Amino acid sequence: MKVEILRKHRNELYDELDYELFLSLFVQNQPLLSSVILRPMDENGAVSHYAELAGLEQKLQPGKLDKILEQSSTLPPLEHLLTLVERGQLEQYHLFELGNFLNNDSILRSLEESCPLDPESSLDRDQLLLVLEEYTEKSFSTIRVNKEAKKTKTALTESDKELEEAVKEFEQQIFECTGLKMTYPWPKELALGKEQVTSINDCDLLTIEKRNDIWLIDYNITLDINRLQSKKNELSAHFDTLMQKQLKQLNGECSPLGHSFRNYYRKRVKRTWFYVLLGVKERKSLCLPEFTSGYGCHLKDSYLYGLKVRKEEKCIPLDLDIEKGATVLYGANMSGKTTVLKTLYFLLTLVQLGLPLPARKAVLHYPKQVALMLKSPGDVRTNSSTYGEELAFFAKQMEEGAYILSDELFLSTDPANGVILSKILIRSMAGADKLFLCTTHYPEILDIENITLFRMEDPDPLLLAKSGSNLQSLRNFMPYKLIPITDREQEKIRTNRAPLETALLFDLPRDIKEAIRKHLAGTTSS
Amino acid sequence: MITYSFIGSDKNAGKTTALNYIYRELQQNRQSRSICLSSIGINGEDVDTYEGVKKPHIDLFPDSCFITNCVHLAHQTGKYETLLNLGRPLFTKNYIFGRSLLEMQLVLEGPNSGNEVRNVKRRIAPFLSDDGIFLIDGSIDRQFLAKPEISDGFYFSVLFTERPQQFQKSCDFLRMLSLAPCSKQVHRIIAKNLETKTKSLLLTESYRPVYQGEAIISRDRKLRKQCEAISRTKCFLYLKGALTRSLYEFLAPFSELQVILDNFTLYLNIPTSHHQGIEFKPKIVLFHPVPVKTIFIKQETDFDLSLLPPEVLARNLFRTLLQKSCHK
Repeated sequence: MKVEILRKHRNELYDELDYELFLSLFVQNQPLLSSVILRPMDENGAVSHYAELAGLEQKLQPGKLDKILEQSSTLPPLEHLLTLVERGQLEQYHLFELGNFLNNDSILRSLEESCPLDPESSLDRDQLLLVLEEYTEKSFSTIRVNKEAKKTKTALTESDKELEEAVKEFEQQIFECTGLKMTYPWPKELALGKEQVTSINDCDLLTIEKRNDIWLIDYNITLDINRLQSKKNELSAHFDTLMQKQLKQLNGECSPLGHSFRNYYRKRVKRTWFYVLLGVKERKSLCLPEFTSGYGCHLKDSYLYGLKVRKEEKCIPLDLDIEKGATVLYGANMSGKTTVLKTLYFLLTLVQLGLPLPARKAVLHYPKQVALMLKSPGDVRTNSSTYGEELAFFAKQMEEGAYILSDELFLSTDPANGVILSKILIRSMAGADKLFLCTTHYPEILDIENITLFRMEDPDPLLLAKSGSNLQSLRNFMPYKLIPITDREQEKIRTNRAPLETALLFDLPRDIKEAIRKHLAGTTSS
Repeated sequence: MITYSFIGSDKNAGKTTALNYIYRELQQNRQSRSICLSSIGINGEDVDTYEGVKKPHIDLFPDSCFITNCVHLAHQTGKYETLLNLGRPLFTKNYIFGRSLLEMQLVLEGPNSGNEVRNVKRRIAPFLSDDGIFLIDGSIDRQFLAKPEISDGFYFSVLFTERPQQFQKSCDFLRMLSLAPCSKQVHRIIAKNLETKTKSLLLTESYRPVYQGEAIISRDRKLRKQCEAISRTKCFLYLKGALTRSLYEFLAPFSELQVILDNFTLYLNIPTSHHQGIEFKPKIVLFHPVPVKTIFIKQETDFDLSLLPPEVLARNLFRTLLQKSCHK
């Protein structure tokens, strides 16, 4: 089984955010799902998909899901024979897999009492099983032969034996006549003397023909063997006719049920995928999103799955409450602002794909459009600059309800102009029916009205001092938590010197460190 | 379950005839043993591509198992029982593992890759008794057949014609069958050092590994350098890759070298037209020896009988006893 996102819908963070690792959770031994290709759904499709999934989850009896998944894994894939059922072109070997499917499906249905699959078409499905049981034997492995066919089969077996005996006798006669040990039907090539050629020539049971330096000895079949062979061929042909007739009758009875069975099969495949989704949700404590009619996004204990696998319990889950309009996120360098954007982006794309989410709870409006602008290094090949790319990003058409995520807003140009552009854009977004979330270091943004302000919680200064210049341990002390910015804290942000303090933690040249210290001291005294 | 593969030196070497012959012989002495037949790719085409004559097909006796592509069962209704469907996604085609209820003339077309054959063996093993026999109509260009986990023994069919290249090829074929296994000690040292990706392993006289290559051996320059460095003294070179013409020519002068090929199919990769006239000084032995059951000879011309490996049964189904024709 493979589960993958359709290539054209894989975003630029596909590898970094390790979508494949997350998708691998859904790879299970389910023959009906040999390949699941995911693509973004439209809003209505996604809403009904998750509603159906939640409905199924509610109806499932506790503890039954594992058994159901185990039984589902016994169903053979039948894609290749759905058309054959409809067209009445089933062969004997198809009956085995079709019968096994229906049989195992019946067991599965008994486990699904609380959430039956497609009760309307169950009569047709049951009828198909009855037809197969009537026409086959030994768990669908052989065709049930009628009296006449049975009689012919017995006669054919006896005829085989008779022919075998006659051939043995024929070979014995050849040996007695020529001294040659021949095995019918294989001819022989022999280097012979004159006497042997004469003796074989005199034997009515063989033919002899000179080929280069050797003689080719072949058989001159007796009338008796010919007769037995003909009898066997006739019986065999008659048996074939009877079997074809029986197969035709069976196909005649299956064919009218084919269309209904095709629909049932499709539903069974879909249901199997649902069981897989719910099984993973349960096993990995994921959640299904709940959709709101208004615009907003509320996440509880959400995380990047790949990050959690790598960091295990050190991965700090993200809680996020944002409403429509503009939300601005402040925070020190390495405090996790970008990870917040990436986590949100990852979850929103999973919602589009119809998957359960790595979070305890997710309440949001459906992400019809998700746009993410990360710091770009530009590209000399395409002659694009960081600033140009950022402008192009905001020039894109963003529809109502779009999620727009931007990292380090307009840090791509000089600070004076960057501040102006940031203010213009954030003011524009503040009144829009969109959800805009950006990170910034510009304190001037704090003055904008009607926006939501958050900051990443600062690390404990004592712990931070302990971390020294080790980047990894520095990261370990980051709380990675979003907290609202109070009025009092706004002043602190305006006079923020945390980047200078952080710089002192690194092994920079002594003169540079000294200059930073002087600057910090001067700033503090003033 | 014991697996025997049938391999021919050429098309028309009489491989299917040999398979039929052994199958009949086993059938007569089978007692309660189960027999299963399959083929690597398709077998039993009605007409020979080259000679335009009818080819021998497989006649299945009642109560024999088979593995074939389902399309070949379309007109066999009622003559078999289906035991397993071996289809996608594990297999590239839809194969049926079945058992004949009546005599059947069947075209065999089984899985064509090592992984598929391994899967087949795993799936059918519970249906065949422990001493059940699985006969595979094989092909010399399928190297996976030489792996011990696939084949327990081989039946070879060798064709000798008057065409010089073909004759040379068959002589090489017999030489390959005569290759001795490497010593137990060398085998043990190689097995100990072997990793999944190992393509070559060079050991000194005292069995110390000096080089372990993972690159395709014909392109492995480091391997050649190492060989040049130590090959004036006695040393051992294990190869898990084709003994190509260039490698054959490169190794030819190293008289102190013992070349240990992983399996016999690697020897046959030397194009016969090219190594004539080259004196190949190293001794060639096999890591996995060839468990030859019987060699079937089909001859249009005489050949040097001493090429036949000692203590291996050789048969000629088309002429009188092999020994007779060869003493002629």
